Amino acid sequence: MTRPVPGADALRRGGIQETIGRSLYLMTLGLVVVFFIIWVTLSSYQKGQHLQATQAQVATLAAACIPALMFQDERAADQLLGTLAQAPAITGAHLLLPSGETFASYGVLPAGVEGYRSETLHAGQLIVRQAVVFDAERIGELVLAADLSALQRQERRLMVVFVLLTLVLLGVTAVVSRVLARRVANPLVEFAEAADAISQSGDYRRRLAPRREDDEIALFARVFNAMLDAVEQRDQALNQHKENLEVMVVQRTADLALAKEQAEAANRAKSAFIANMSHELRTPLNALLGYAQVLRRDRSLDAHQLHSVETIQHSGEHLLTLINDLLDLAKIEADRIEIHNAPCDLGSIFTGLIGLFQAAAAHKGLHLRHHQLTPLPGLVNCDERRLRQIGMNLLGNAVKFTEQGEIRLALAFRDGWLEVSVEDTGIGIPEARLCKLFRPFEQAGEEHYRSQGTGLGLAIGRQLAEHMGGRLEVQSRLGEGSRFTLEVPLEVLDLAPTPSVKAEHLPVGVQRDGEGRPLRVLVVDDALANRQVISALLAPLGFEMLAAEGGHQALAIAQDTPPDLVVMDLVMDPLDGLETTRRLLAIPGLEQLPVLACSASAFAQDRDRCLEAGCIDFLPKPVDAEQLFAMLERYLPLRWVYAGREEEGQGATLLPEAGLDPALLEALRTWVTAGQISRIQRTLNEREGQLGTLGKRMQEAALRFDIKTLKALLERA
Amino acid sequence: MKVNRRVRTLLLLLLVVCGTCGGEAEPSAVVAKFVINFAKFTHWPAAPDGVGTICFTTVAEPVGAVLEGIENAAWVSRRGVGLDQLQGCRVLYLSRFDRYHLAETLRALREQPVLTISDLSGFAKLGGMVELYEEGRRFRFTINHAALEHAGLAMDARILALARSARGEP
Repeated sequence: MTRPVPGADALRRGGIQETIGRSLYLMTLGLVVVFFIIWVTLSSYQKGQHLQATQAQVATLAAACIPALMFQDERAADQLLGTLAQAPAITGAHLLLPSGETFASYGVLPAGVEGYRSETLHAGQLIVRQAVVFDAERIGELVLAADLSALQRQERRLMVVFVLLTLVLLGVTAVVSRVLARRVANPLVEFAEAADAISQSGDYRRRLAPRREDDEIALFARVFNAMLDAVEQRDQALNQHKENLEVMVVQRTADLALAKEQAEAANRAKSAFIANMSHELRTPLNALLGYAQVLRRDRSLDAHQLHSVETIQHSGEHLLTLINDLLDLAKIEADRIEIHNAPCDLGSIFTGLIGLFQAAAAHKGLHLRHHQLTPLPGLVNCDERRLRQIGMNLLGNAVKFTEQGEIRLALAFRDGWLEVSVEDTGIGIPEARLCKLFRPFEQAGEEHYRSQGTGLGLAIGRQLAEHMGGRLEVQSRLGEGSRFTLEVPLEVLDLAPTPSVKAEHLPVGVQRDGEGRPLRVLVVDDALANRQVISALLAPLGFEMLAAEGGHQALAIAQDTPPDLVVMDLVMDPLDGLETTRRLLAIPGLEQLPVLACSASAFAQDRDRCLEAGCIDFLPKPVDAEQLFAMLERYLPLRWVYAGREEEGQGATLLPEAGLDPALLEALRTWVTAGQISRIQRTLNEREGQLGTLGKRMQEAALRFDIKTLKALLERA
Repeated sequence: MKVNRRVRTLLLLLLVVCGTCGGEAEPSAVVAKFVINFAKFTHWPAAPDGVGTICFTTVAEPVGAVLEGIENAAWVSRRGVGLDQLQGCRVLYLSRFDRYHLAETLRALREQPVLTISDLSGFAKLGGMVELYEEGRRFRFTINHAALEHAGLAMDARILALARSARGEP
């Protein structure tokens, strides 16, 4: 609307006016040319006429002179020439004899006229010579001079008239073009300006001014105004529509906002539901698992009861895995999967994984080999938990679906991409199922295998790999085994290659930096099992353990014996973990107390709430020993004491220990096979003072109910 | 005869040259020219084809001698024509040799279509047609219209305009 009408300026600059003027001037020029041609034709015609007349006159005169010449009558000749006085244009004439002698003359001839040929112009005079012939005999010659000035005057007059006519024409042209321009172009320019103003202002109520003359331009104005009427009407209609539309839009927007609010509320409810469900499911499961562990320590159980308890524990662990997988899948499907990149050490991740599966593989009679094809970078930016999750899934599957042979883990790091391949000699996957492999709730194996796992692992693994910007592929041949390849781009933080992956080893003791009492850790949890699990992990290492059932008790204990670190369960009654944390940190002298929030909730929002309350970190349930140790190392002034180097190498034999005589070892082996872990714990606890490194590790493994490690340790003893 | 003719031609040429030189032209030559000019400007009623004859009565006539020297396809000159032979003439020049029997000659030619020319004074009054006379150094002439008319001859009007008209016997 604000755009100016193109061409209005051109019109203002005189397009039509110029065109009219140009055409008129062209016309005038044409007329001038025509005039000129007429003038030239006329004057040449006049000259021709004059010449012809003069020639006729001369011829007549010459004929009349014949007798005078023949009878040599000069007087008669003079008389004849004298008649030329009647023709004022003739200025002079001579009658010559054949000898050239002048016989008779009239007027004055220009000097030297005898030398001129006939019909020559000389000094404004036309010279005409005419031979006088009688009876085929040239008897004389008549020479005549005609004054052309009259003719030339006439010609000049004609030219003046011509010039005047041209000037008049030019004047008329100028006037006519001016008038035409005023009558045609000016109204057009006015209209163009008016139309321009209308289009610029967008005010379609304005109209072109009517004209007095009833011509085409007036018609144009009327038509234009009629068009403006139509536009205005349509504008009004449009405005009405617009208003209606606006009302509709407001209504719809309100509806949509309401719908959106409802949807968001539903989504929030769903999220909360999932979070609650996961928490609600995991909390009793933790209790179940905890009590199963407690029960297994009960010496009064017979073998059948112990087996039942172990079944409860295994089923519970399986259920926990299922819940975790389902939760992950739900998050992935809700597109709420979160990749938390942090500096981590690739070497330690894979060392841990190998450690985790070595025993399981050995138990099935499989070899777990690892090949490091290229040096791995020292520090990379990655989500350690997720990477570990994928690795565990791949290795777990390999172990699960392989009956004999070996499992090969190959690692490489090329051009910023980590390549992990897990190859087994298992049952393989038929080609038809390969494409379904990464879909949720699809499992490759026979019925027999299906009970083991949710079938979600690979689906989750692939989704995680894709969320990390990488991919997870499979190659397989039925009966020959499978090869899973994970490729993930990782940002390298420190290029110093880590030492090749080694079997993991946990600390066997703790040493406080500097002098002082042992480090004190307070565990606050309303579930006894949870308190016991953490105490069992930390007490053997040399920590002084404190425990509280609820928030109030925790505050009392903390005031009485200030701890160096608190592990705080979040969901407690009546005082929840967050509130307890706030109050704890409010106690004078405890402002810097590190509090680790411990919860089954896996959502980031819970984590944030903890950090807001003053917690220093978040420890997810179920508690992972390694993670707990890492946090303690970070927040407490301590140094871990590891077992000696003798543990490296499969065949190395540990030094005999005073506390572990062969009889005891035999007894321990029997108990392990029978699943009597509680008995082992009790026996080892009784001899705690005499235990060396191996003994302490056995005690620790027994406390963790880590039967696999315990078996391995006993085999090496 | 041949030699004679050449000599005459030479003489004539000399005369012409003398005339143009500014000297006096031989009168007989001028007269001869006039005679043949009159002959050219005169219309004969019978309009006989072929060559016309200009007659002189005397063999010694100088004008006739000059005319015989001028070659002309239309006219021939004859000298020594007797009075009884005049019917064959178209033009008759009479000179001072004919002054004694002038009247008799004119009478004999009455009613005859013969143009009569003479330089004798009073010729026109006696019934002659063209009378030449000298005026200053030029020859002029008088024409007897009645005589011409009587003989049935017609002369060019332009010649008549040059003449000093005279009334005489036809």
